[in-house]
Amino acid sequence: MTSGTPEPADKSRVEPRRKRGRKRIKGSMVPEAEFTSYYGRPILKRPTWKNPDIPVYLWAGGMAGTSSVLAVLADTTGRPALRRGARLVAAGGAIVGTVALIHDLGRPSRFLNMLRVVKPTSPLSVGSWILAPYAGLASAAAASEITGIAPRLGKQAGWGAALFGPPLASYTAVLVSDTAIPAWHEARDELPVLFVSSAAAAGAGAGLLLAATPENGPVVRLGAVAAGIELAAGKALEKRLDGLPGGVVDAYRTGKAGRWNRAAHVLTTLGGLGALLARRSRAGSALAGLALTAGSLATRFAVFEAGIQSAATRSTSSRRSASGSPAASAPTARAAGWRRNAAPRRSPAPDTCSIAPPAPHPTNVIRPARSATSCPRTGLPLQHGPHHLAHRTGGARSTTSAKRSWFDQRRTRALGELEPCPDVHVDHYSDDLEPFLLVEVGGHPLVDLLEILTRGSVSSPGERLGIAQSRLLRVAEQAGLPP
Amino acid sequence: MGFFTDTSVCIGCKACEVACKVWNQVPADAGPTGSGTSDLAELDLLGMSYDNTGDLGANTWRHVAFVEAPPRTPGAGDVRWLMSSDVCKHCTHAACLDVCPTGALIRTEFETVYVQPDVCNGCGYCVPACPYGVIDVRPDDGRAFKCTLCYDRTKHGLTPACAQACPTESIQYGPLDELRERADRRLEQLKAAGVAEAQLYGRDPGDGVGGDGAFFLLLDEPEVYGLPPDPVVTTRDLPGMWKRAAAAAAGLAVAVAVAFVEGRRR
Amino acid sequence: MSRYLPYLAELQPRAFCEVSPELARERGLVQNGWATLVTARSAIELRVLITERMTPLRIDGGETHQVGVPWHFGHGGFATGDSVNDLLSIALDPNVHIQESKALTCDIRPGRTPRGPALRALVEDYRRRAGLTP
Repeated sequence: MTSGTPEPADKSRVEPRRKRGRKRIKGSMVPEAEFTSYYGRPILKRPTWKNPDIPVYLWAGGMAGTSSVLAVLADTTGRPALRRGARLVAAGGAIVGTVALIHDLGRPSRFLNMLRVVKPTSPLSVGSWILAPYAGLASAAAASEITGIAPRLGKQAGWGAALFGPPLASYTAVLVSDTAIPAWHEARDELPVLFVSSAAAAGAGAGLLLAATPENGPVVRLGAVAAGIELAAGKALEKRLDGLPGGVVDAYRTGKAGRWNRAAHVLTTLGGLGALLARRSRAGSALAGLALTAGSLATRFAVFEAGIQSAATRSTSSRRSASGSPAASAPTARAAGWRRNAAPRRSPAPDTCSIAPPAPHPTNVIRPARSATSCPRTGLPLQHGPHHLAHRTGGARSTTSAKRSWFDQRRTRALGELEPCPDVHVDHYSDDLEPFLLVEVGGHPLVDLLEILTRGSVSSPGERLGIAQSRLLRVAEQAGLPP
Repeated sequence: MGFFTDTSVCIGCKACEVACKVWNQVPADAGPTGSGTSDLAELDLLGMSYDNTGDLGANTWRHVAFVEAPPRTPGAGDVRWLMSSDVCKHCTHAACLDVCPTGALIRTEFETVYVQPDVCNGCGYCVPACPYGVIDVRPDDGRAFKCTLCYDRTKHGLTPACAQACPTESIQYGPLDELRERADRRLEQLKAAGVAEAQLYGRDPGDGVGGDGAFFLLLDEPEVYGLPPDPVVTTRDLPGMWKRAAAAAAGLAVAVAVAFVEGRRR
Repeated sequence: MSRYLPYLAELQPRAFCEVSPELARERGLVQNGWATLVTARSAIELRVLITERMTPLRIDGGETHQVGVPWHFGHGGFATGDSVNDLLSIALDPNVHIQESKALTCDIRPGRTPRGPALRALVEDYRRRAGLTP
């Protein structure tokens, strides 16, 4: 939303949002203040999930989950080559996925903590409990396939893996949509279909790649159908997000995610069509299978990158103005976060604090001493014009007028008078607190006396004063005074 | 127990930030949070008023925001310099806690949300789950960190470090009921004094996260302070997601089976 | 002292000056960019914080800009930056003998401060044009 080229469709999306503007000033003459965020910073944290660990896991898990179902059914229907290939893909996908997940952890040595609890509220916990038995069973089936040892047990393990396979392929959709990231969370209805069809396409693609031509009838049909559903689910997802405020859909259309998405579309379309058209050719089937599998991988990368981009742009941009061109003024500390699309905030004439009328903000007004034609101390003539005063932040905001209060005088003394003279002056006044240090009560210095009086209960006079002050403030609070 | 942060009296001294880091031994952070640099020679300004921290994160559990907002009525009055000390909200329905697969995130006896550093394995699921963008993984450590609401102090009846250090009692610690009453009184007081834009944030137990354990009195819209206007705990929609995922899984099994059935017929 | 404490240094890590948007526009200063402050004594470089909290003053019909500079930085520690003391004459507080003057006139220009002989040349040029040196 904040980056990328402005689309014509932008406006239709933005218009209804503006209505949600600032309720408080609606209907008044005040131009609507538009703002995006706190200095344009995103509210959400960027997911710390690593790339490519997580997208690869999403892809490998899905492919494995589908493959184990394929393996079982291929076994039942007497397709040994497809069974062999699918079993190997299932085990390989499970192992690759598990390794990727463990590598993604901040503390990989603690991966067993994943099985510490069973938590239905945590898709990752549920997923761990799916993946762990799945990986074991799929590996056992593959081991039996390769070695030929205990084919009966291998078959049973294969059935077990087939039981965990579909959940393994679909839970990952919950995994990503159970987050605060709009591109993932708002797509929660479509992501399961997208992920499962992507998994089916990948599994079928792997089957096409590995199984011989006469056996590939099921994977051809599965691949073609899955590719179609995957494309349709992707469209449905974008359509839903398109209706949402904040430009959530841009996360899927722009940047890296957009590129992956387009690649996925092309690959999946080619793979689906290729599977149907080239099913009699071994090489053609293999190519189509490769395209389907690659398309699935591209889909996972697209979804992953969309989440990353969505997190980075989620900056309460929902209130950005449609016509909001940044003000042409010099950038200020707040310019990044604040935009005002109406008239400039201040009229040009009273741009500066003026002296003649009693200024509303005395802290910002420096009144030149007396006639202000010569420096009060040195007698040098004063030059007026755009010269620059540097002063310490928070200091030297004195008010030099004919009658100054005791407090003002004291403050002015302590801070030094602000003079538009050459920068040479020596302050002969003593510091603020010195008179207090010297005050005597009954022949005893006051400060020492305070220490004697407060000994026992409170350690220092400063603390004593602090307590008195906070009591005073309490009184003010009780009286209902503003701070 | 929780925090009430009254930003109308915050003076932006950042004592809470420093007190928090000192007590909890959180490392100083070079550059914006999450940049991953720990070399203090790379410290730099952010150009965001007096805020050089940027946001909450693994190494920043209290963050003082400085907002230079235009005056309420354009052309009248000074820039409103708003300061606010942000912190983990300790949501009643905490997404980070819900999604944590290891049980490292727990709810303490004070109804606060706490990461057990000896259990966390750094899976990072809590990071995108948090609707406020509070919790983060420390890159050099690998585990997730956030405000503990000084669990070690509260266990011994002490006030959390930030509330203890706050010189203006902008940060108040206490039982939530009491704090809510106090906040309501304060809001009334400010409204009566003509501060129409004052509002409470996260106070309402009926909101999308069930009310915040750390709530705020703000002097402008939440977005201005970098807070989400209407946060929702992501797990609120989880039952529906599980149902759809289960249906999708069944659909996958059926689709594969159908592919074979038809194959046999041909 | 506080420059050496990481927890404090990270809060305000570099020397900076605050200017109004008007002055920034007039002098071509950019947010978080470099600016050079020049007085009759020397020049220092600081980062720019443009803020509407700083307002130009209207004094006897003339517009006067303010530049706010915190008094904190030096070469040591983590939070480094040029020392504002370089710009000043010595005016010590009689109680604690700490630099006491708070306000002075200066010029501000965009960019970093030259070092070595170039710095001397820059300041000399300012002095000559101001009529401080013949």
